[in-house]
Amino acid sequence: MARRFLAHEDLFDWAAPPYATGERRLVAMPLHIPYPMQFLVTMDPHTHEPRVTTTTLGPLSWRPYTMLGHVPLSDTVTIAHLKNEGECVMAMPTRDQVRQAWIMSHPMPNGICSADVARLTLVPSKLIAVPSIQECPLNFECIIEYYQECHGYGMVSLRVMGATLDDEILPLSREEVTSRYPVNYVGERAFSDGTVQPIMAMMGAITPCPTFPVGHKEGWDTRMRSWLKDLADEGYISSYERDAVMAWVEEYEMLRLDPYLERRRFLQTLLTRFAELAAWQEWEALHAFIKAESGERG
Amino acid sequence: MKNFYTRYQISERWPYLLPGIYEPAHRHFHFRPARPANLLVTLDRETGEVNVSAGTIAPLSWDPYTIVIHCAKSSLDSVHNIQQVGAECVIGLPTKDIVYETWCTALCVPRGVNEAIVARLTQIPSHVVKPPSIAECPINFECVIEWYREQHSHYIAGLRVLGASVDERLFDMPQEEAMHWYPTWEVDDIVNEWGGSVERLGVLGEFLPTPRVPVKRGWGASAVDWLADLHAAGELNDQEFATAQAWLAEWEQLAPVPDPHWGAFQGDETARERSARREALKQLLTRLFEYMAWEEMDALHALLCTP
Repeated sequence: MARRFLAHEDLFDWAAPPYATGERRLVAMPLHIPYPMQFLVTMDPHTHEPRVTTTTLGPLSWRPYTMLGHVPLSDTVTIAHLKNEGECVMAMPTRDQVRQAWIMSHPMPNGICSADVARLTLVPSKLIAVPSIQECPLNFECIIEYYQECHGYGMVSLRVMGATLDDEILPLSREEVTSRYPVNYVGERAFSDGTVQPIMAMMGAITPCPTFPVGHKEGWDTRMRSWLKDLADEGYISSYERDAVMAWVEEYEMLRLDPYLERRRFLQTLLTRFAELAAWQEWEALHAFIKAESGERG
Repeated sequence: MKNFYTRYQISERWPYLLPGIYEPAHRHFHFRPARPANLLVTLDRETGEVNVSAGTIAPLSWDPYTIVIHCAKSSLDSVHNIQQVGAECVIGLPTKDIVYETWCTALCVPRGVNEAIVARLTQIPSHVVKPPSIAECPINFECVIEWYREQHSHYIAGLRVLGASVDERLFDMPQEEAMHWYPTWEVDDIVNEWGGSVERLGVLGEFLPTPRVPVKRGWGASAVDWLADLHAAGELNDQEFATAQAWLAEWEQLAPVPDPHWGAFQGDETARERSARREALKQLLTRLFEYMAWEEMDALHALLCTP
């Protein structure tokens, strides 16, 4: 396929109106990385007035469960709340809340609650003082771990303390859940008549990745030794083949980390080829390869 | 009916099964929204050997264009390589056509084994960074690491985009078609017959009907700017716009009174009057923005005629 390289300066259309959002200034919309969108609820530390905006979400860690929110520094009120309050709620918008999401994306003057403007209902949270949103099926109650600024955005790391979930969601399949929430922000279109339309989408087709024998039986986070053991246990390779490859792994890992070391490079080639043939389930070629390289019976 | 789940119940991947739930990790993933996936290409800090791993990303800023990557600590080699400010890397956006290959980059192979070869992905020279790009990815962002930090079970890193190599077909491809193709998103895990997990990747599907409104500044612009755009588009006349501006100006002047009752108790009637006026203005402005946002223009015009 033909490719075109664009330097950073060429990624943007500098003739676009300066007030246009970043994604609209990209020379090609597909350069914009879509993201799951959230409603971020914060509270004024002095008046306790709630405020709701939209934010990008990036889950970060599972234990503890933390997620990253990005808020433009131009939204000075939300930034001040995040810096001073220490708590917030992240709520997942549904497919029926597209207009509400659009409304929330326009920061209101300090003290005006966009939940009221968007006709959403704020309800008390269970663990924190900041309220949740009744109409959202999932509300995360979070405390703020840290705040960091980066090129015009404030990044906050939120530690999830608990969450409320609509009961009716619980038995639904993943396909049903992702067709309901969250809404994913793709970008926006600007029209010559001066109107703008946000682009939002739901998750579509879901495809499983391959499983054992393409990797360890347990899936993620395993060592090659475990993969070799599982392959031998299930008869994909013989115990002799397992031991031969294990010996390559052990010798390889004993050698010093020198890319020019001839023996290391040789073993690296063997291990790469083994992993490739196993990953693509080319068992006959794999047996022949190990036999040839180990110089013994297969 | 809503149910509250503690952080422990959310994080638990192997809870007791509830009626109608047959997947041990089923509940856990109700709390984990899908995130866009990526292929991260780095060079080993000591040997310069290529490393490819799958992870998730989020966009961060536009000027300059920066991206945040999330890297599990179990991805030992990638985590090792990104802990270096100034190091170069490539972020490839995988398509639904290479789900198998994407998984193969996650196989646990010894340090120094090139996952791109294992996964039969084609490495091509990048333009401004040393790590190679991935030919099968329609977009490869060539980046430099600006910062990194530990985040419990993960590391995160901020990447500054130096440039991007783009599949020519994308320049003419409708957004919807492109998003049905890439990037893939990490959606969940299901359980295989050995009790292990099988990663599942998705792509965006249905595009939702959205409002088309005369807000030139678009996403992220303030509601006050939105109001000005409506005036510029002729949806509000000069008198109406002036009224709205006057309300906003008065609102800005009326700083909130933290506790008007305490002021009244002290005999500070001014504080109570100010608080009452602020509450009235709050109602007016809330209705103003509400009618504007829901495009209920008759109600908006009527409100702005309020004496």
